[in-house]
Amino acid sequence: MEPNLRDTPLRRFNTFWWGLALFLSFAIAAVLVKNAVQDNVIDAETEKGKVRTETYNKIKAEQLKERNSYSDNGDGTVKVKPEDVFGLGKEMGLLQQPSASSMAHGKKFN
Amino acid sequence: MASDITSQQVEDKVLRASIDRSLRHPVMFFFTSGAAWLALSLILGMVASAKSHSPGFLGDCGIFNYGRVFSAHMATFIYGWAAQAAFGTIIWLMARLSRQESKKSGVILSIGHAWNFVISLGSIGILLGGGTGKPWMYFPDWVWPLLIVCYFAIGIWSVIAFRVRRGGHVYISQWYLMAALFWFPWVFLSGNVFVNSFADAGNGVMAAGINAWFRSAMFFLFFTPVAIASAYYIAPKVTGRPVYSYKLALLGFWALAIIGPWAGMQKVMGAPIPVFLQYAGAAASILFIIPAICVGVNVLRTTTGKSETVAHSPSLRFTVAGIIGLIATAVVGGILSHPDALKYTQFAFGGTYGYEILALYGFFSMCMFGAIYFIVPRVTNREWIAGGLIRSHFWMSLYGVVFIGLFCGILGAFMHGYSLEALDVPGEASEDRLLAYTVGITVGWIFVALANVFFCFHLLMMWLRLGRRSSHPTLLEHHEPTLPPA
Repeated sequence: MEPNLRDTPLRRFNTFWWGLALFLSFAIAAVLVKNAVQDNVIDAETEKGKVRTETYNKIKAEQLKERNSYSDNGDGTVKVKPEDVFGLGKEMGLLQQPSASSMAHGKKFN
Repeated sequence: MASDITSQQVEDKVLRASIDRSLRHPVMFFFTSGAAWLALSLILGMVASAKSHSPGFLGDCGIFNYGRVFSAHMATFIYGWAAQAAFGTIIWLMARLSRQESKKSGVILSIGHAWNFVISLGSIGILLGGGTGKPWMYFPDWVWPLLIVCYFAIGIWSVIAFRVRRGGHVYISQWYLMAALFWFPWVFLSGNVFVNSFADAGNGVMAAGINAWFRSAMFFLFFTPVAIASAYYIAPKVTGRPVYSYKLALLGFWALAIIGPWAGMQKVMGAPIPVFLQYAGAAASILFIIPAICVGVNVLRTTTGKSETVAHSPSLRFTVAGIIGLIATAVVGGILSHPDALKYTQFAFGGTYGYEILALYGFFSMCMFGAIYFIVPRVTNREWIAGGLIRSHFWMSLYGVVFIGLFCGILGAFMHGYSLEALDVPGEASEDRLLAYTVGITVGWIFVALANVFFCFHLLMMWLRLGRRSSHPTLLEHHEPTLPPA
């Protein structure tokens, strides 16, 4: 049989490494495209969430400010912290379960 | 002159024998392990199909939950059977066509074992609930990088064999094999990197779209060219004729190369992805009929007038049936890709599944069976034991795949989709309408499983070198009893 002049160690070596390079180039291209696209992705849920979170935090801060302040209203009443009122109210027996009414409501049911 | 021709023929025969001997172990390993995975896949397919109409079947066992068992069925079918049958065919065909002995059979065999090990772990992962649920990417996320590394270590030697081939001529089969060898890493890497990264980043829509592209691309750009390469080798070889038309072969190849990569995104028609991608996918799926007809006409015209050879030769019979399956796949795929049909089949049970089974079994697997029936006697130096087993394998496979793919999968999908679209009808009515088709799919799988029992048994005998020692091939001929003269 005639010798195969195309079959040389160098050709085999080159083909192996070119094949590997082409193979890896697909992987590298995929990763590069993925990173390039991924950075520009705007997640609508997260963006909307930022606005909601900001509004919520603002309102909560205002409420806490109102809630924790003590002031004299000038008409004989004062504004106090809820914790103070609840403690005193309990001591005074003001915070009780309401009892059933003794008055008939007068409604008639068919 | 006559002695020169004879000595050349003898040298050729010696070279072919040495090529076959060098590839015996890796090729037989891929074919037998592929057949074993096919058997397992069919069992899982029967269980999954049974659960679609009898959910209580094996209901106490979490492993056989429909989502897991169906995923394992498709994963083992695609990566266990189809991929390994393709590998065995690629390495043998390329070695024969390049007239190069394999010098790395040991490496290929070792990597083949690694491939099987990874698939085994992946399948167990799916059954234990670690599957991703993404079609054709069912294995847990850590599996695909290992598979692509194994693929490189298997495929690169065929590329080298092509580069150092004897003689300058490149056969038609070699075009398709080289194309498949390079398309697979591109599709597999791109698909898995993008789907996994987009899904993890919360962009599920793009992940779904790319997954749809991946499924089509794996079929059109890897499994299809490998099966066509096998058909273009076996048809002229067995009939002893040249391929009918070289120009038609060129047209078919380039049509597949240009059209194939565009198909797939019609599967997510109506999703919030660019409309041009969806319609380009639909158009490409419809246009796939062009390369299918080119290949079909070329191969079938090569065998025209040789109906006895087609009837008697197992490899040619399976190959011709596979090519007819290719044309059927192209026609059915075109119909299913039309937006008006998608309206019914997109979310119906069996629409996509029926098409995939028709494509992977009715076309690809039939061509691979043809290749296996041709290659195995040559690498083992034995002939198939019984034509009856091969005939049973053929007819039961054909009945099964036509029943599952065409009647139950696709017609059932239209019926289910039509009843789903009728909004004034309660949901239970559409499920009742579907029942017959789901039972039909189970029955079809039983036929296919029986067919492959014969195939697996036969292949196992050949692997153990218990085949017939004979100088003539096993043919599928009927022996008519001859009456004594009056």
